[in-house]
Amino acid sequence: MTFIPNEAGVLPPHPASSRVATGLRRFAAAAPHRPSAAPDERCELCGERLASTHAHMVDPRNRSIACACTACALLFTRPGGRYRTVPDRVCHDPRTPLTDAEWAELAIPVSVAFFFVNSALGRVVASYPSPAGVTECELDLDAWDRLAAAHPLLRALLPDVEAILVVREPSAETFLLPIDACYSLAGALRLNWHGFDGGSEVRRIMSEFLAGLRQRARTLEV
Amino acid sequence: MTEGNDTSAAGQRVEELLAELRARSGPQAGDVAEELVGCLVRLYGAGLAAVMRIVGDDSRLQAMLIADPLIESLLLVHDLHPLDTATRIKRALGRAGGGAEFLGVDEAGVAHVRLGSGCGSTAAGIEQAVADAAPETAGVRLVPRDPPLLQISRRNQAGAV
Repeated sequence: MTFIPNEAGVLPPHPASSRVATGLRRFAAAAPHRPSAAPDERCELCGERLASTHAHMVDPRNRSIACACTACALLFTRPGGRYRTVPDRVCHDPRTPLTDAEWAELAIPVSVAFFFVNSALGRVVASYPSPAGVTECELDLDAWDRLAAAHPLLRALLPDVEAILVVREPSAETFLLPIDACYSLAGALRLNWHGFDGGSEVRRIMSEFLAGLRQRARTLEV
Repeated sequence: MTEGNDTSAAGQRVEELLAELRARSGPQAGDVAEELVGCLVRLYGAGLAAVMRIVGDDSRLQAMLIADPLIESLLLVHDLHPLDTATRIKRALGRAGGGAEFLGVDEAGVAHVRLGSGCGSTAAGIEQAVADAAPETAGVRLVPRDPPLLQISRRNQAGAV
């Protein structure tokens, strides 16, 4: 018995098929159904296809964040519903910077942290980016209240959807920003974290993120 | 046979599960699952391709591999079968019996088969046999057997069976 080796050219590699490929053969095709470079993102409320930059909504009860189209995002800008749309304002308050003494009073062990009001828990939560993603840390709530009394920026914080980002190194800066920006920063840092302190890539991402915030930030109107 | 060692049963089961997932969790989850299945199938396909490169032209090893129904069906899934399309179709028609004759594959990838007269030569049976043996073909065109009237032609005795 002799066997003829398979010779190319007997058939075009992908003939125009009148018989639909069935079974596992359908999956063996080289072209992926879903290119990983550009995932097909859709509004999680109405299913509308989304652009790569789109709004997010927070579900405070489940502590989850959902992608939203512009129409659904506008629908949930008012409080009271299950979802709250994340606003896109970035503010800072150069008139009342956070002093080293005030920061030390919060006893936060890291130099980059963000704070947000969790309405389900009814209190402020402190978190920081780490190689494990977002890590929550203990916060002295009385110290926070004293700080908020002295800083209008901290009092302007909307619950669940906005955060206060405090950076102490290399320069001390404080911003009020959308909470989804905090999560995307934490995600980017986690993906690129190397070694003990994160490494040079993490420092580059951090400084680019801060440069973007400085450009977007408006001075808080009191 | 269970889906563990039957490629077509496994393929069918995968489709059922994908349909169930789509129905329960929506099209997005379905798309992710599709890509997940594709990812795994392409990975082991690449592994099989590497094995077949090592086997190369060794006809004894090739014969041993395709004698195993599971291995043969997986090689077909990934276009790695050592026999070419025509040889596989002829082999399948021979096994089916009934005297069907393979005429060739056209430019569109459709296999042409002339029906025989035996009982293994039903249209549906031939189509299935070709689809199983050569899933890369785009379909089967069946050419009717020679009109029996030719057999009683007076002048063309060569046409008689």
